[in-house]
Amino acid sequence: MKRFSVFLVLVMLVAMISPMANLATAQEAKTIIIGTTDEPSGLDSGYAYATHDWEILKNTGDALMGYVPGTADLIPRLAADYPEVSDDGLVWTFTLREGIQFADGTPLTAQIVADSVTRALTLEGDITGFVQGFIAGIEVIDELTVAFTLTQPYGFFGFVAATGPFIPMNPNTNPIDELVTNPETILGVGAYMMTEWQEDEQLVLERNPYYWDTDNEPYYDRVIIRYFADPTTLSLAVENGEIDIAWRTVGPVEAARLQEIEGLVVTRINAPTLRYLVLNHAFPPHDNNNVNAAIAAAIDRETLVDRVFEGRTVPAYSMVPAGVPYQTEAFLDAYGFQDLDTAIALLEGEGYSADNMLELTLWYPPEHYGTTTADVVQVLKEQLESTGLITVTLEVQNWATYIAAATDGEYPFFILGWFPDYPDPSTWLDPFGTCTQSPSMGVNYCDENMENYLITAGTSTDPAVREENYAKAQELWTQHAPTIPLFFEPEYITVREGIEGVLIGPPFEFLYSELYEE
Amino acid sequence: MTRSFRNFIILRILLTIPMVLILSTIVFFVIRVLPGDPILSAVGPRVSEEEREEIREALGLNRPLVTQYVDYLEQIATLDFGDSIVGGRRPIRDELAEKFPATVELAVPAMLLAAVFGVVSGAFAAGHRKQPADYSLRLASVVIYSIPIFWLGLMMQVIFSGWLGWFPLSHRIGPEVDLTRHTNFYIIDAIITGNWNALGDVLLHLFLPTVTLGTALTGVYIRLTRVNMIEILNADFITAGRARGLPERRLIYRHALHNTFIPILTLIGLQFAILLAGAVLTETVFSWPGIGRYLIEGINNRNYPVVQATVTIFAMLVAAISLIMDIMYAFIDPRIRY
Repeated sequence: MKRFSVFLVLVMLVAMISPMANLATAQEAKTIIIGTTDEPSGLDSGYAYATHDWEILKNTGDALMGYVPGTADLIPRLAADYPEVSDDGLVWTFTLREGIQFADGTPLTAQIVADSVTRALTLEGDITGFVQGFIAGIEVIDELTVAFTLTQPYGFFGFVAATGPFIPMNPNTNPIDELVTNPETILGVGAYMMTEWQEDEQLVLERNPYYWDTDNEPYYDRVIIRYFADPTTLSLAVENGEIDIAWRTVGPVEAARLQEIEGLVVTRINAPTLRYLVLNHAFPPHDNNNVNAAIAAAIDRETLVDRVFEGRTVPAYSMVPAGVPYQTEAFLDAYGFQDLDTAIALLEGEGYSADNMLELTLWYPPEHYGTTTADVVQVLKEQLESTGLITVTLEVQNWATYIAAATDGEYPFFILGWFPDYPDPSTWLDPFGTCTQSPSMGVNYCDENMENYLITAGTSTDPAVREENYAKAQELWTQHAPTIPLFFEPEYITVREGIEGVLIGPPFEFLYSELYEE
Repeated sequence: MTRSFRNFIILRILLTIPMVLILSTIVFFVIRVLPGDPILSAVGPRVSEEEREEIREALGLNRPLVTQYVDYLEQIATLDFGDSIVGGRRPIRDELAEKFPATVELAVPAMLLAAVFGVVSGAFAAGHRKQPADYSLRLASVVIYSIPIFWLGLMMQVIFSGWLGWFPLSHRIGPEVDLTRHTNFYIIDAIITGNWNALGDVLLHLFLPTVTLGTALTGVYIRLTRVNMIEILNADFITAGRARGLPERRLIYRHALHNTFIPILTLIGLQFAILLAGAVLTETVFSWPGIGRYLIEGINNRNYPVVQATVTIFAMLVAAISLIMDIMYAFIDPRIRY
């Protein structure tokens, strides 16, 4: 018993002393710890199609194109200059910067870029469908030049070339015929290399000794991404000082609490995360555009945002968020904050009355977008019923069932969220507004004029043509309402006082190499 | 070991096979009957149905159900559950090898804590029947039993990590502590590598989750031990002991307590399944990368092989614990014959 007691005392002593030892090692390298409730899915640009995966890949790699940090301004990254586009808009040719090396010293070549995109095209990763939508062929012109032939002329392809699949993977770790979704290291061309990944625990990035962008060398030697299962624990961790930054996702209520704590700085990021209503045009009454317009006119986003989120979300008057080129406030122009007179007139014109009410069933998932969704649909129900001509029944379904049923076109009227791939209107409009894509989103909308506007804008590289057609498309959207934008949900980032360089713009890229301390 | 005892153990092990098989079969079919599509859940609606079908085919999800079931039985037999169908498509065996030790490292100390603290408190309450200590412990056991585990965990975090700063808030090990993983049992890894710094850190990280999970189960042990002890303390052999002048302390903790172990052992076996359920919540609150979180994520994503594998492992674990308890009966009470 006496020996056991001595052992216990020794163990306790070790436990007390060990944190001090940690402090000593921590002082050797400049380290920053970022907490998140996200989790990597598959860290291979040939596979990845999740926000956090792209964040890690962008910090351990670089795409052909990129952005001025904190903005949607497209700039060449691995490409030496903006791409050359053929007259028919189908062939985009990129020339790489000279002297770029992977983190193990392997030089970057056009062949490696071509192989990386080919992996995304062919290896049946989550990203494959996305890339197949754009790329019809790849040709290596010379050591540093690669040309992409598109499936059709996309004027916004420069933005696509800034996405995950256009980040070249190291050929020594990622063979062309195999996905490596759970790598032990990532030796890319970015500011950092990944040196450790313990699933559900943490991921460690260290400075890339071969980083090409010597003007923008990172301040921190090590970045540790700490994974949390629960947002409350995440916010307690930044409050306790166990992490330096609490990133996605601390909700608005926790963010407001953290804002009051001395030594922490909370910043609202205008994230492009959209919540919207889908009106499935395959179902009556949504095959009637007047009914759809009446529903759109009856919604008061300002009240919705105030009542449910205490003003912490941003009302959406277009599917396209502010800050993205060619965005208009089309729904505000058409209906103001709310236009009950127009809504009632449209409904009466379609024969609805107090004796013949329009009956709608609004579906929603109770858990996937947080507990506020129930409040959102309740406020929407009240607003629609305030016309005196609509009754709304609310129906709930768990997410796994809901998303399958919604996109299979089983629900006539439902709420969904959307996160873009790149900061161009096409990523917010085409999936819902084009005849080919809208069925897979459960919208089933097809209109000749809308199709014409979206395809003309999407395939043109002329800003004037794009502006004119996207403006017309957004205006027509208010009349046909394939979807009704509700609000954009901001993200909150909490950083320890003294840490600077959090530059997260419309592309929603968080580059850790921009972080520094005064 | 007597022959009958050996036969009993063999029979119990053989009975485990149909039990695991029945449970696994139920899970296999129930999860497929549930609405929801794992591919859609993984890639989202923006990928077309044709492309989703290609992925489905690549993962073998469009094969006849019977074929999938036969494959699944083969996987159980070899304990190789294939690859996860969402989230990187990693081999499930690798993922279980990482997550299972985390859950065991949490569950075993929690069970020991609950059993030891619960039994000693229950015995103490019985020995002080109808005294303030007895009333206090009975009240405490009811309160503890009623507290939701996630709330208890949160309070532990706020008080002992936030306010007092005594223990880390979450995770198994600190972000900047190096530990070479051999077994993924961090305590064992730290000991075999002689990394005392890591051992201390791991023990500190283990403290709050263990106490949370253990405390949540203590109430049942207190009440069960107390009831059984009161019955035994009225038995003739205790009265005889008192008449011979044996100290009360010795009567309670040596003679009476020893005789309450059979129902307590039964309870430990039964509670282990509840403990695993509690571990799911504890793992979430403390960001503990265990098998419970893995199961929940698997269910939410309709990740069929992950759910199947995890439930099968849980079933085997509960069966193994029950078997161990049955074997221990014989050691504690030699009158038990098999």
